[in-house]
Amino acid sequence: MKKLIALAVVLLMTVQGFAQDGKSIYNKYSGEEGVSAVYISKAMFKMMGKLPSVEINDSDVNLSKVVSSLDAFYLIESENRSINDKLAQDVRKFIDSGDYEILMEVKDDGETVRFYTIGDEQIVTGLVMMILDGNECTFLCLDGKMQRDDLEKIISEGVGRN
Amino acid sequence: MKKLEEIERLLPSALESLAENSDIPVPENMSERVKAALVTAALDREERRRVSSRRIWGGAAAFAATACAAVLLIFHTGEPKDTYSDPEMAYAELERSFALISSKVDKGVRMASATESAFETLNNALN
Repeated sequence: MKKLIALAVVLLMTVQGFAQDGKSIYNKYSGEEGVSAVYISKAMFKMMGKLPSVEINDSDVNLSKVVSSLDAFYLIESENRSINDKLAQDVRKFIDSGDYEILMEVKDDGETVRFYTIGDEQIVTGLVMMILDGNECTFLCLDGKMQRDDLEKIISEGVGRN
Repeated sequence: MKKLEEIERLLPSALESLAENSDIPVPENMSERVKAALVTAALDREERRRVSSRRIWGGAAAFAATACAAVLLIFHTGEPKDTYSDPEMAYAELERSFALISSKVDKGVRMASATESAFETLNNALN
């Protein structure tokens, strides 16, 4: 009897655990009304890597080094107030369930932006950005094995242009 | 004195004739002891019935949990489909996202820099 209860508890915890990663958050919210979602798979990243020198919008930012090291990209942009709170809670659980560290939090004009990363000093295996701005909520998740230096360079290069 | 095994092999008629034999000594409080033994046996049977019922319900709960887990696994953790079939479009989306990341990081860095310069001004004023 105790074994059966323990098995049921473990199964339920496993199910709950499946709700806490980028893929499950994407699967849960991508079909909701007022939500736009983007998913890029590892296979697509490999295809990107085979493109000849890509120039989009006269960009000087070279993403090729990072592209080859990415496994998955998830983006959820929601304007549905009824699900924004739940989305934020699920992202919170996702962050708390792993070894993510907060990189930066910016609060300005009612907008809250948080960055989280997971990895070591040289390799970043995950980057999460969460934006809460009134009725809008944005969740971005990058999975892979990115060199920290390359990632920081790309972000700073974008900063220079902005 | 008969042994327990011999008594168990006796027919009911033989047991009745033994019971009618008043020469056989009856231990004290025999009837109370027999009643207590019968009550204990009845309670044991009831407890076994309850344990069996609990096991059935527990098994049903475990099965229901497994079924729920299987349904959720099937419908919520499947591999999603690429949004773009064109790698150039996907690359453009990736670039847009990194530009968004950069703009937000830039905002944070500028806010931190503004705070730092204000702190330096205060520090200079105090010194």
